[in-house]
Amino acid sequence: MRWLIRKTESLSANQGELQDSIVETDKLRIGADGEADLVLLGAGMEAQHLVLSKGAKGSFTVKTNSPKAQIQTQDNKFVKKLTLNEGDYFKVGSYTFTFAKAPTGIDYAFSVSQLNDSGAKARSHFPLVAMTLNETRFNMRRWSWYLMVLTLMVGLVFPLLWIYGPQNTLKKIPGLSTADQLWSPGPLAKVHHIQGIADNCQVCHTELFSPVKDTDCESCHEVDPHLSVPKHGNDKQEQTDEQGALLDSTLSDGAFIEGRCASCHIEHKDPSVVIREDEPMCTSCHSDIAPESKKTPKEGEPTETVGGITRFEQHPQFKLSMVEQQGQDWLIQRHDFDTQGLMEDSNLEFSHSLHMNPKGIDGPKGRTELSCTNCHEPEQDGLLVKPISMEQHCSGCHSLTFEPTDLDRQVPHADLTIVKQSLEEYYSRLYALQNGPVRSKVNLDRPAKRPGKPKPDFYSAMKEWADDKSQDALEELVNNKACSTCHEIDKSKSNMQVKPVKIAKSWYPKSRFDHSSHKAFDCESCHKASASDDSADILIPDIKNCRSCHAGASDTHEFLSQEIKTVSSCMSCHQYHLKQMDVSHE
Amino acid sequence: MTQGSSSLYQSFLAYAGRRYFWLSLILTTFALVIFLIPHAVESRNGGTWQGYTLGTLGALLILWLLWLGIRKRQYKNAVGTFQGWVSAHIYLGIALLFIASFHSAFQLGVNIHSLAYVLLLAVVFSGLWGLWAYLTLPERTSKIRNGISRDACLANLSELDQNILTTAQSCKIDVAKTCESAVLKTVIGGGARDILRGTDRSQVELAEMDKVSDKAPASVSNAQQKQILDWLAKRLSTSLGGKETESLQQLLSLFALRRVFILRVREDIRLHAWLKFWLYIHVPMSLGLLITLVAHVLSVFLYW
Repeated sequence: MRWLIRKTESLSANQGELQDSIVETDKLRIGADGEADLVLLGAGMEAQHLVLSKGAKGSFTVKTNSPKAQIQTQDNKFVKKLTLNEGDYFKVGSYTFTFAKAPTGIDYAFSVSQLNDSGAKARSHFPLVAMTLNETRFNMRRWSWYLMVLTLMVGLVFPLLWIYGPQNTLKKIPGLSTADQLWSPGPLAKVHHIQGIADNCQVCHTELFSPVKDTDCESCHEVDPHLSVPKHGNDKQEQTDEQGALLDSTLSDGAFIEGRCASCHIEHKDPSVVIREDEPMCTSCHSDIAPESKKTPKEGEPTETVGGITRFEQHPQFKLSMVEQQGQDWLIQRHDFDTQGLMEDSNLEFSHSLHMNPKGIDGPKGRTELSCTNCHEPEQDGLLVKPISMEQHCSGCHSLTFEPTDLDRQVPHADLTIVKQSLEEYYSRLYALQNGPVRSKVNLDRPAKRPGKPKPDFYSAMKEWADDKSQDALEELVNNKACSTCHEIDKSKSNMQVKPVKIAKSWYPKSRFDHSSHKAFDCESCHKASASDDSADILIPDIKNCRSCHAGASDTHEFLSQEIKTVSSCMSCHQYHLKQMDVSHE
Repeated sequence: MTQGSSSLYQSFLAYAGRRYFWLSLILTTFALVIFLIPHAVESRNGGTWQGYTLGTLGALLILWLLWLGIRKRQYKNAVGTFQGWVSAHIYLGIALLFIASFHSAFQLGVNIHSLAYVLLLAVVFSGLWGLWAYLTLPERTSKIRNGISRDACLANLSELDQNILTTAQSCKIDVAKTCESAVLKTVIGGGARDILRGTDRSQVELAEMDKVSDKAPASVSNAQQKQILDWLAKRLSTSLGGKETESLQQLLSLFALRRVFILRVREDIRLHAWLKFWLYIHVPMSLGLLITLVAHVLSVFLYW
């Protein structure tokens, strides 16, 4: 049985407090003896005075336990044994025992008070004020309520009132319109510190209990989504095997990378970095890059990947995008930079070393020193260079004259058919000028009239002459004078053809290289052009060249290596949102 | 049953072979490991999977720690002993400090989330203060009481006062009135600040010596019963001897004894107030924390 004993104020060690104790016993012994379950001292209390035990029907029995012991009943009679019910009391010496309703989990409960001492307070000759903190205005319960109501109002009621309430009316109440800003877990990025956005949570948080949606971003931003790549979160369902398990192990954070704008453009964080350029931004998904050659594995074989790329040092060698002819088509092929004997087959004949001779090169105005930018002009703020054009970059020296007597005339830099047409036109006109109705004095190469043959008519004669002259001029141009200087000529067919020159617009289209930020360096420090006398040479630098100055963010152990390198993350070269492209373009 | 000795409180800490110390150490280590795992995309904060893990753990701990307030009122001893609960409450409360700090990733701002953290700090540190109080103050209280309970002290004081009043009645009116005012204008306890500081706001109306005046004398501070003792000593020096001198001597010694009891009761009240004071921060702050915690969790998902 469990007994709850409550000592009232007069018995408690501390004024103004109740002291409860629980005793578990079938027979509760009360007396002056230290062994008793409840030790009470004083006149009229014997060493083993009382035993309390269970009575019938919720009542209980009080028995004296020593010959001298007595129990004083409610009627002030002295007895040896007594049965009590809830609310009854009895006295022993100066003590009064009152039985109360037992709380849950307790079988019997009673309080003990001592008559004699309980008057100490009452008998005081001066008024006793609060002696415990709880008696003062610093009441625990009161402060608890204050604090709970305050936090409830500030933390929930005011913000929710603003969200759900009539805002037009509520905005007249000072401070209420910004009540929900107390929920902001961190500062907004500077770019979002705009009136109407920074002061209105609901501009972005349009739906409660729902993550910020892309449409919320798109209400201000024009977005070229990156998420057409099937591996990204929205298409996760398609990436499961028959058992429904995710096939793509790179989506380790799948539950949190949901393929939303806000998955990467993280707001309200401290420090606020809404545009992230750190390495994990990319490598959390793209650390396993499949080599180009392994992208389409044979059936049943797993895709081989270059695993564990978490920084620039682990980046595989670059792949060059080169334009190559396959049959009738020109295709972009990607080659590992380290491929043995990799040459460019652009059909161009060009020697950088010849043109970059430090002593200059013969030109129409004498020897001329050429620099790289004479031909390679930057484009898109230095991200690319403009294509080379014959008219702009070559024709200053390389003229397409064909008639020694007429050095002002040049053929167009065009297909040989057009060139020939142009030549025919020129010579036909010349013939006409000389042999037509207005004749020149000197008939230059007029074909001799042979005896016995009918006199050719004027036009046939002109065509015959012009054709001959054109063909001669063309052959001279193609073989000796102009075209073959720079172009390869296809003589396999009946009609000679200049092979088309195909040069990649961008060698590394999956990255962007900013020439303008490398202006401090000579072109030669990366592009070894002056040593190249063959246009097939690859003059594009590889990753080793980049690594001589750049290192990944986590690779710049400056203090250890004493080698200071420029910290570069994936985003230094790669971009995320590329128009019309997936991860990046081909 | 009287919780007087510090050994009982020590046993909170040493309960069951410091079982809960080891539990909280394991929890703290677990939280540290989770905290140290870098998130793939974000810097450390409460919104990463690490943050959510620690936040859930912390919130559950807060609810369980708050449950002690209910558990102490439950006499039906369902699970464990109360002593065990207190032991776990202390150790897990300390663990919560680390778990919550790791959850916050030490980012603070002017917002509901940081308010929750600040309240949590207040709750945990006030709890630690309480632990210190329970380990040291009861011993000091027993020393002051010197085996006499506060009630017994008050009862003695009451008897002394009765004696003083009776003795003073036999003296001249100035003595009678002054002594009576010194007794009646004694103050023990008071406001929270007075209790905690042990401020004595007792007063006395010092009558002009050997004069009968209708004008009530001004009330002056009688802190530590100093004024009345000085006044009686001075009054004694002007006394001509005989019965009055005897009474005055008796009054002087009674007031000196009275002073000892008053000082003892006041110090007892003061120490007891300090023993409980931490609770006046701990309990309201923890309830404020409960509401703030709800707002913290709800707001995160309302404005996800």
